[in-house]
Amino acid sequence: MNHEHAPLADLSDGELVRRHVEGVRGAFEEIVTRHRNRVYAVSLRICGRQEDALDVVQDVFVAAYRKLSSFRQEALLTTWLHRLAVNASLDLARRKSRRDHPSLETIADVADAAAGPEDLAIRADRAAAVQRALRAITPEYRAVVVLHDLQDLDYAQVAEVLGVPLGTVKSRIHRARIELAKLLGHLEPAEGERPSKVVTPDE
Amino acid sequence: MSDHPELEQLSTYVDGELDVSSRAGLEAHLPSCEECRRTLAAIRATLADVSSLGDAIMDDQSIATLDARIARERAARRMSAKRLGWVSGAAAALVAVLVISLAVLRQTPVDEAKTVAGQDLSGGAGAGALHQAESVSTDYTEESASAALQALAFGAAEAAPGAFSAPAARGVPVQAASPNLDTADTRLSAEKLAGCAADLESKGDLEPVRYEIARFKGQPAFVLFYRRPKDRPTHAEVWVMRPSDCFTLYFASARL
Repeated sequence: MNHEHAPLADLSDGELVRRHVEGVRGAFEEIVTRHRNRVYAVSLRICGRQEDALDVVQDVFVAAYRKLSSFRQEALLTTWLHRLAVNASLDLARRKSRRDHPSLETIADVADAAAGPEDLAIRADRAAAVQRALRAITPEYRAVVVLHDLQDLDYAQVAEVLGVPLGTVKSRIHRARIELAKLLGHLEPAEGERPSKVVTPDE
Repeated sequence: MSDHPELEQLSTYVDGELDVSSRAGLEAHLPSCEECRRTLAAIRATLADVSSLGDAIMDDQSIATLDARIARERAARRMSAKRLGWVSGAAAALVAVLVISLAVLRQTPVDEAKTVAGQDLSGGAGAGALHQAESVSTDYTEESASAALQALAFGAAEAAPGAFSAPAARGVPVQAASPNLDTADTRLSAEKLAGCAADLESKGDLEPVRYEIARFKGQPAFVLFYRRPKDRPTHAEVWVMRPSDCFTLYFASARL
C-alpha cells in the first residue's frame, strides 16, 4: 500500500481520518495515540472511577473505529471524540448515580483538611475532594466543567459537543461552579438558599 | 448600589468572555457589592481547585488493553468484510472474471459478484491471492486441510477439489448454511472467530488469507489460512481451531 510508510504522526487529524477510511494501516492507531489521554481525562472526570473511565475509552474508540467512515469532516475530530466520550460517560454516570453517590460529609471533611499549607499530599487530598465534589453535582453540570474548565474547550465548542445552545452552556457553567464552590467550602450558602449538601443537619 | 448583573455574568467575566459594555457595568457594580465580590472570589478559588485535578494519563497496561480491544475490533471487521470476498494484486482481473463466472453459474446476482470483485480489503496480498469464501459446509480432515493449504501454496485449486471453489456461501448467513454449529447465531460465530484470529495474529507476523467457519472431522471448527511473513510471504499456514476455546486442533505449513 502506497501510504504505508507515510509519516502518520505528521499528518493532521483530517488527513488521518481520510487515510483510515482508505484502509491505510496504522492511521487509526495514530488517532488513538493522539487522542486517548484526552478521551480518558473526560471520561475519568465525568465517571469518577478509573475502571469506568477505561471502559468508556475502549467503547469510544471501538465506536470511532466503526463510525469513522461516516464522520463528517467539517466536525473537528476532537469535538466528535469529546462528544462520544461525554455521551458514554454520562450514560454510565447516570446508570450508576443512584448506586454509589459519594458521601457528602466526606467532601466537606476533605475540603477542610486540605485548607492548610500546600504540600503534595494536601494537593492530592484537594484533588480527591474536587473529584468527589464533581461527582456530587449533576452529570450535566459535571460535563460542562470538565469540558470548559479542565479540557479548555471554549463555550462554542462545549455547545457543539453537548448539542445545546450557547446560552445554556454559559448558565450551566456558572451554576456548576457555584455548586462546586459550596461543596468545596468557598461559598457560604446564601440566605434562604440552604444547600443541604454541605450543611450538617444540626447546623 | 447598582442592580445585580445577571449572575452567570460573573462566570463569563472570569472567563474573559463578557462583552465590553456588560463588563464595564459589572466592574462598576463590584466595588459596592460584597456579595458579588464574594461570589467572584469563590468562582476563582473553585477554578483553582478544579485545575488541581491536573492531567489524566493512561498507564501502559491500560493502553495495551485498549490496543488489544481495537485489534479485536479490526479482526471482527475484517472478518465480516471478508465474508464478501476480496481479490487483489496482479490476479485481480483474472479472479474477478472467475468470481463473476462462478456467481453466474450459481445464479448469484451479478451486481453482488461485481461488488465482491471490486473489494480489496486484504491490505495488499500477493499475486496468488485467492478469492474469499466461507465454505461453511466443508468438513475438513488433516488430509483435506493440508490439501487446501497446498492449493493455497501452489495456487492450484484442483489440488483440493471443493475446498476453494465454493464461493457460494458468500453473503449467506452462517447459520443458514450450517445449522448444526454449536454457536447460536452468525454474529456470535463471527465474533468468536475474530477473537481466535486476533489472539493468533497478535503473536506473529501473519497475513490472513481466508477464514472459514467449517467443520473438522465432524466437529465445528474455525479454519484460518495465513501467509507468513506479512511483507514477503514465503510460507502458507493453516490453523484449525476449536470454537469454544480457540484450541488448535490441527496446524500445517507449506512453502509458497
